[in-house]
Amino acid sequence: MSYCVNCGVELDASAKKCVLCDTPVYNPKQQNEDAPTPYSDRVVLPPKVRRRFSAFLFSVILLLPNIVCLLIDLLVSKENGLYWAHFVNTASLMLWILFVLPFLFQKARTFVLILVDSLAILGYVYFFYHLFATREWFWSMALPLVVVLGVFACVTVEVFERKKPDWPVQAAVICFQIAVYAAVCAVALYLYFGTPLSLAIPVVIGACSLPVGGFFIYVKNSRRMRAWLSRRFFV
Amino acid sequence: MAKTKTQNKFWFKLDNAGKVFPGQNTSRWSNIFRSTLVMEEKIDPAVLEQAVKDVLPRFPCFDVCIKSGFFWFYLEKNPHDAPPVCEDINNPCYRVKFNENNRFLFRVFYRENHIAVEFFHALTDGAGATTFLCTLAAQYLRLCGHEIGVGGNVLNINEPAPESELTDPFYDYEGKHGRSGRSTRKVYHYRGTPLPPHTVGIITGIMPTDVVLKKAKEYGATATEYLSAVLLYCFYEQQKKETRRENDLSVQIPVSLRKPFNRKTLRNFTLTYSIRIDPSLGEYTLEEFIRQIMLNLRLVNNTKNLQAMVASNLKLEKGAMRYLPLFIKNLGINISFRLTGEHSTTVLFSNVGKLNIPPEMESHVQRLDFLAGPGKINGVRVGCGSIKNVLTVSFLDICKETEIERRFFTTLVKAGIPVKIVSNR
Repeated sequence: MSYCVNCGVELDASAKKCVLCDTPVYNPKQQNEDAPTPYSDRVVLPPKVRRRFSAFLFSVILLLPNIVCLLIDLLVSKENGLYWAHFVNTASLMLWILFVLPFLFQKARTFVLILVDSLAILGYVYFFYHLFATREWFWSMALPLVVVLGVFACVTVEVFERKKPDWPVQAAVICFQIAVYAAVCAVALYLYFGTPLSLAIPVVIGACSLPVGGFFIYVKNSRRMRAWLSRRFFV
Repeated sequence: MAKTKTQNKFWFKLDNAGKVFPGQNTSRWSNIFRSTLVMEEKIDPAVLEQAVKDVLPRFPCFDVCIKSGFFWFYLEKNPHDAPPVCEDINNPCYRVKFNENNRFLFRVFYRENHIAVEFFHALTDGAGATTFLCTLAAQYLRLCGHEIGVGGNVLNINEPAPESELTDPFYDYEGKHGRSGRSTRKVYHYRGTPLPPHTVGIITGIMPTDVVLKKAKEYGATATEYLSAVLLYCFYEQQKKETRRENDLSVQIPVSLRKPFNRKTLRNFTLTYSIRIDPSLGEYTLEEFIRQIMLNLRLVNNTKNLQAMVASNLKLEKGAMRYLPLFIKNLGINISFRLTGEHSTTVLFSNVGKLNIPPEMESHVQRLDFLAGPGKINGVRVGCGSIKNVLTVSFLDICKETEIERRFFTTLVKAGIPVKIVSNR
């Protein structure tokens, strides 16, 4: 029998290290390579939830009112063709891409989903631009705003999922992104309207979120401040 | 074998304690626990399969599958013979799905010299499960040619199940007694790096029962009081090391009601006590922890208090909410469990106590391992059981770190209790 020199517990004959403290086991008098392990090595993972079936079910539920709307619109406004059903159809398509499509993949890549979602939102906005365009607002405003939003979403996922930062860093990243996005909005609005007044709101947003972001960075580096916050704001 | 009226019943209502568990069940987590008997001889799966078939008719309340009614889940006689007997796995207590395992709510495993059963908590509690396991092991030994009698936790499989084993005794205390509230204040939770879904880390400490009892007696405590105090003290020391805000510490101890109310039911008949210690009151020593837990447990552990708690549980079931459709109840149970469930408990310590088996069976059995199922936010849950002179304390952990386990077992070693460790890690 072997004992852990660190914890003092007796170890199983098959143990190569102490499970409590990771200290390797070396017993020259008892080198039992073939001793049976106390537990099986066989890991049985239960089958995953049938995500595709749920996606199919939601798709059918979403499809039914769309077909009904399409038929009603066709029957009521026979001469002018479709009058309003395409508003319902395009909105449903966008919602389907945003909320149902991810369930069709067992393990969807987040960046691909963000790209697809951005394209869906752009397509939906372009539909209205195509119908009611009076000025070039899609190219100068909608497109840059959606693209920048998509890029920010990718950055957030990258930072949060891969680097797993502490909560003050997460909060700071979100605050800084809000400030930068407000600046992008300001530029887009200025390019579209050409008036400096349109800069006011983004400046206010930036002036609020930047100091808050800075505060969270300070919180991250200060143990005293974190302790003070947890004392003050416990629930 | 003549069948009693209750045994012929085609369906059962879920007992009062078991009613919440199907509502809490998700595709990632179930309230499930495991009992393992480590025998002296290697297990023959074919003989074990036959033993399960022989034993199951004696336990009509386990020979069931779960069905959903309009207002409640209910248990119905299972059309299948028995659950499959499977080779043991490294990740026990994974989630239960009601249409798997021949629709049975318990699983049977074997490996080398181990026989293990895993029970969904809606079916029974630790006492019912260990009684089933001992009866199964006794029948297995009989089929192997040994002469094994009955008594203690080994039931006579040639007799029909009496009514007292199948009825839900909770209802006898409905509305008779006072009601007791329960705390939902948040407490300290140990946080670690989570293991992949459906996998758990198990560390079992094996120690001599008489040495543990002797040590507990030095403090005037029972084994449950002593071990749960040592356990909670490990969390107290761990919390002191962390920079988070200091929270209360709470150990949840299930108490079987069979002895105080003189019942023999095989269904759920357990209540849990939460003993709480406030670390902001000052520095504690282990002796103070043992004293606090011992006195608190003895203060609340009396029939009046137990009756009040039972009445309080029944009030929930028998109130106006009973008329809500099942899917709304499930949603409510699920949300309430997420919001309050384990938030008021730092750790669960479940002790099934010392099992009594016939003397002729003792030479065939080494020890009993009892595993409380994995928690949702409680990283560690602890099960304890004893047979002959061997006591085991099993940690089932959903985190990679083993800091609490190390503290616990080294504390026992320092107290002069020899501990042997086995693990799946």
